[in-house]
Amino acid sequence: MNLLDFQQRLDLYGADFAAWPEDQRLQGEKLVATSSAAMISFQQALEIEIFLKDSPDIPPITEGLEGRILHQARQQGLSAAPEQGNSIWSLLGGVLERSWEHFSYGLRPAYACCAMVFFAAYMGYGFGVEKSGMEVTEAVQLASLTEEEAIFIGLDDPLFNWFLWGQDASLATLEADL
Amino acid sequence: MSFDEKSDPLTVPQKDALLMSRLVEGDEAAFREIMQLYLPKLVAVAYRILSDREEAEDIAQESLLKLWRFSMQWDGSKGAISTWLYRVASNAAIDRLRKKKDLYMEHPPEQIDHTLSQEDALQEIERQTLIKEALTMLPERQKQALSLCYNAGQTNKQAAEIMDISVKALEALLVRARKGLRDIVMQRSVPPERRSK
Repeated sequence: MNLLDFQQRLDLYGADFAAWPEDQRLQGEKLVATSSAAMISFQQALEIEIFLKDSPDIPPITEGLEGRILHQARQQGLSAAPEQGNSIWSLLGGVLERSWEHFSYGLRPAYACCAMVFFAAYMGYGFGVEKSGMEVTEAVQLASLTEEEAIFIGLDDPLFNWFLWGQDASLATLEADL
Repeated sequence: MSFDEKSDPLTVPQKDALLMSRLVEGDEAAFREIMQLYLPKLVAVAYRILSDREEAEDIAQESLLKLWRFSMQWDGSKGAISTWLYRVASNAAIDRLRKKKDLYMEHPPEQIDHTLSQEDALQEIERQTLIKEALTMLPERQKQALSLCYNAGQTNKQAAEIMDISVKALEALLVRARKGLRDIVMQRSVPPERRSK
């Protein structure tokens, strides 16, 4: 193998001898060991090979790029799929997320405040009624609600109750409690 | 082959089909998965062709969004997601490069005097700059071939499929690209007074 052959092999297989066919690799290695011109060609090719593999000139992607793309995709109709069934949290999260996009920038603070108030009310009521094991009637009494007031805020509404306690809560049970 | 590929019982077409069917249903998690798999490589491929990060990121973004938009019409028999994405991204990068070249012809930038920086710059940085500049001087198809093989980690066969050419033609492009780089680097390494006229 002469210098020209060697350079042609370098261009064809690159400077990584592992990628060369066995017989040509042995000849190439021998030439590099004996010829300074071959050694220079090899070193240059190796430098280029390493540069191409490592690509130190390619900057890391901008922070937030993934979020930007995701935002664009959502605007085009991509939705967050519920990860663990239709839990109240995933439903609520989905509703909030989708409805958020419909509000103009000026109305979003007001929307966020309303959502927080609703969330606080839900959590307060949930902990007061569900976690302490209180009956609805006790909670109503504790909150000093009249029966009319309880009906007014929707305690007899099956959808509302489904949101609060899940599918097990039936209107009949609640009506009996009230 | 990576460890994940070895341990995963699903083949690439099966995985692609699964991901695309989830994407058709509007599953954001599937889109995130695709993005995590391909975004950095798409940016790298486009950057290698364009040498502009912002534009490379734009192209990667557009390619991913295009995949999402066309997910309903996805036909797995026509190739893998990776093939489709790299093809879209590298072709878009070439289109932009052509537009940039037109602009360049109208308003050529001022020439940089490299002899001044050579005195001060570290040798390593200087060599890297040389190779980087040499890369920008290669024809676009050669840059596309290099970016697919080195930055996207595609095999010659996969890269040929993406570029819609034969493996032999791809190898020829790689040979010309490597030779071109070596020639440019060698020529630029020689001091100006010793360069043949």
